[in-house]
Amino acid sequence: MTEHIQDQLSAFIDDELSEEESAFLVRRLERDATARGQLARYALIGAALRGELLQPHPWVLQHRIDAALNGVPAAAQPPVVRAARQRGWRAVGMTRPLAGAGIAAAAAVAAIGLLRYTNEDSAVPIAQPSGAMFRTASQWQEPESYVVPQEAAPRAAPADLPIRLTNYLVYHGQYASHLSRTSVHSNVVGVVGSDVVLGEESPAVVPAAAEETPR
Amino acid sequence: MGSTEKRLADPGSRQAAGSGSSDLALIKRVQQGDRSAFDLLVIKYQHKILKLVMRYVRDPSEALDVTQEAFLKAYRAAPSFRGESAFYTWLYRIAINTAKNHLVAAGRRPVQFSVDPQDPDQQDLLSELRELDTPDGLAQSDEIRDAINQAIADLPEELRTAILLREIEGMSYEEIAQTMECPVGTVRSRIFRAREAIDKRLSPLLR
Repeated sequence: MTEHIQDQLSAFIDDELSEEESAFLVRRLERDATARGQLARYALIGAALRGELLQPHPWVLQHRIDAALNGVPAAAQPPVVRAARQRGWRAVGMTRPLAGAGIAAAAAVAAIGLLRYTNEDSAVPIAQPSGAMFRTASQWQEPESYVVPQEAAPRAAPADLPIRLTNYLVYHGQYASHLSRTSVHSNVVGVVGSDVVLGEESPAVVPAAAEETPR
Repeated sequence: MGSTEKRLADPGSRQAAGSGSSDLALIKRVQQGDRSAFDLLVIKYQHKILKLVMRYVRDPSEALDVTQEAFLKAYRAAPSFRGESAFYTWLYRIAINTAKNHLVAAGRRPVQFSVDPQDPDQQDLLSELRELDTPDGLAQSDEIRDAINQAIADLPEELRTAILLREIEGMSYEEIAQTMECPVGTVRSRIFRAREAIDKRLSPLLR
């Protein structure tokens, strides 16, 4: 460390440097531990002369404060860092709806799997998601991907599937609690025998006993 | 109000000596997220603030805690510092409020008094202040005081006068230059050389 820097440190501790010199010296102090030590000793000399020397080691309080500040976020972040952080939050903000959509898709797939399980006597896999579930029997067509086990039992006609599915949904609507009836399917089939039940075939396939089933 | 009390009551009196550019440069860095700049402010003002807090909180260990808390508050509030007052004035207010709040929380009434080392009635307080030091620390503290006193005594007259006017009287370089009838640059050089001479005696004790 040159004598010039030491002279600047002396003036710095007295607040007698120009603004430019101060800014220059502060930047140097960031990376120059020797200069920081010199500054601390100059501060110690002044404290001793003024009768303020309460701690023999000038770094005791500083170390305590430093340790305490380690748990405190920076007083301010540089603009670049702040902007990056804001971008990060923005990314999180976009991610949440996407994650929600992903969860909803997973739930839909699980529901389809459940429906397949309940209709497992049907050999025809339900390849289409929710759109297919709302088709009426008249709209039903043979799926293009035809996958049937060769040893499988004789399967029902494809046209049976919507009917069974309809029955399932109707029964579900009958037995489901009020809370679960708020789901899309339950609302659709909740009113048995009404005109809105899955098109023209639904009322015909609904067993009469279903209406009398106690809840 | 005595001269010591008057000086203590006016936090800006000493800071008026300088331009405040050093503190301003440091606080700007702190506001940009530079922790090390705040460390330098702690180095610069820790003794002064601790002494100030001791005027309100007499228990030495409590005073240390309050001083630490005051600096933490200052660090957290640094982004709001606008430079409308000197940094030390701002820090001074934070320290006093922290000390008062500490006393209120502890159910005690704030008692403010000034410390005059020459006042024999305040020797008890001064001895309490020294209780902050451990026995080892006290011995070293005495060594530091002795070394500094010896170094001051050995200084040439113009260096001794310059450093004492600065550190004890709190004069600015301009005021010292007028008092000593010499250029400001000479005052700066004398103070620097005085510090260097004292530092040479001090450094071996701090290793």
